[in-house]
Amino acid sequence: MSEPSVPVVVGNALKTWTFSIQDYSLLSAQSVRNIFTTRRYFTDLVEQMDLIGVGSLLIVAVALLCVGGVVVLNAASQFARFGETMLTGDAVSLALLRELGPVFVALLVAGRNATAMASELGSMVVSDQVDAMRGFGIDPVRKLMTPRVLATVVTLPLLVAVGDMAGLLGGFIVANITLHLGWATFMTRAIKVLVFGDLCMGFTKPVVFGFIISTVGCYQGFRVEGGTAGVGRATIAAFVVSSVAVLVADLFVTKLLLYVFNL
Amino acid sequence: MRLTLLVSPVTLFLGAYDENQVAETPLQVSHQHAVAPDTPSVVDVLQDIAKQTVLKIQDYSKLSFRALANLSVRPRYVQDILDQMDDIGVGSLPIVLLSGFFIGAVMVLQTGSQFERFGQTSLTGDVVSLALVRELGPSITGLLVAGRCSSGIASELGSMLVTEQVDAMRAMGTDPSRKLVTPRVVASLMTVPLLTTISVFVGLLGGMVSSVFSLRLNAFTFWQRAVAALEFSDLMQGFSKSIIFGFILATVGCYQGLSVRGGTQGVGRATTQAVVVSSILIIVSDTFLTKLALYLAEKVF
Repeated sequence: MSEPSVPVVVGNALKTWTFSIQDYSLLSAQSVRNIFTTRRYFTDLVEQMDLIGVGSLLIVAVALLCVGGVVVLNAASQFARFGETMLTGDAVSLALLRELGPVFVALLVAGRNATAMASELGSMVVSDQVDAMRGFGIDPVRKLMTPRVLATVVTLPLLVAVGDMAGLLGGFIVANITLHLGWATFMTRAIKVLVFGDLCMGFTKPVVFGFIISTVGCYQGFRVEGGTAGVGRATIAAFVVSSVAVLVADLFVTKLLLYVFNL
Repeated sequence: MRLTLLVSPVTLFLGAYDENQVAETPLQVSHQHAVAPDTPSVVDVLQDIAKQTVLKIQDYSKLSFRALANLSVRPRYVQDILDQMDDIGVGSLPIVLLSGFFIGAVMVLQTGSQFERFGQTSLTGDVVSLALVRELGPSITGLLVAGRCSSGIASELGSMLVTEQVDAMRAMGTDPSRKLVTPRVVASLMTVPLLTTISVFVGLLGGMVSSVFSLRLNAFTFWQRAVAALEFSDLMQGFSKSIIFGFILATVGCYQGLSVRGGTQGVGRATTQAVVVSSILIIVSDTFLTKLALYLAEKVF
């Protein structure tokens, strides 16, 4: 048999790609539909919310504290040149709430939780636990995937809220040290500059990102093949695909919300 | 001599009535029940945590220092360095290209909407290129490559440790640090700045596309202003950061991989820990590196 020609190779790749997108869409749709029908595994949901939300709290707070500081460090020199140091609070607040908060928190949670979901579900698939579950009459999507998806979608906006506050705090610390801004000046301007559209953008994005992260993580976990090495591959693929999908979705959600709120 | 032979069994016999002694063999008669260990006090727990943390930092520092110090003496495994550069650099290229493009586009959308209020949309090119080169390029590339490669390194080295391949290597006279850790660290140091460069370039391209379609800016104007706004200190800031981030992600991945305990589950835990620790270290060091770079930009450049 001769080597497959280029059109065949490309065609096969495109077909595989289309099939996986179809698989992913069906799985995500099913996991969402399971929320509205019995039976619901509430204990699993609470457990996942603890793991994903409370577990990521510390790293989100520490990381966004530093991100806020970095934004002020970079903006401070520019603003001092124009003598408009009071604008620092504005700039940090807008940058964090609209963009950096959701994106950085999503990337951190993807790194920590999408990999954990993929490796946990992948190990369960490889050790036949998912088949055993099905044999007992428990729907694995209902028991394993839906709690994770719902938990991430609910906790990611809360993590973003905590992260934004930590970022503003970090920004204030650096602004106080370098530009000698007071708490009242900084915080008043930081809060006053926000419009409803900014808040909507800042909290709609985490919902979308949370859905993407959890569904991609669970999908990669369920689709593991090839034993333990496959679990490792699925873990990395979960992170890579969810990160890129988050950044792509960021563009379209931003454009949509900028249009809707006329910002 | 005979007295000691007589004394020792007597002392042992007397010792059997020690209050805290627990039965060591099934046939040994003990008059006490096994004593439960005392619950440690808060101070003890904190001390333990502090000691563990300091030990881990010490181990990590020794590993990273050795990784670079190994380059001074032969044998150097150049083929492994090239293999790792292929894996880390070329393997991360798709993710860097895609993410860079969309980050640039989003930055232009956001800053453009702000500047449209003042009618100064031509400033968008300046702001976006400065933000990308100084901050977003290095940190987002660092985070993405850390997620992909740090976890990959940790899981690979962890599996090798668990399946005793590292011990076998040592038994055959190959230094695992020289063969496994140094190639990865050197490859990461060399490829992450290149990936950052590509990410920034593609980001500016994405910004150009976005500005043409949403801000109605001329593409050439955007590009010209973006490049003109950059100074040497900005480039130095961006690329020195990316070198440090490359070092961090490789050494953290190797450390987590080589300190795996507990079989396959431990490998999974080490993989997640590698991503989390390298992401946090990258973001925290970003703060200090930015301050250092801004200080040097004033004084030196």
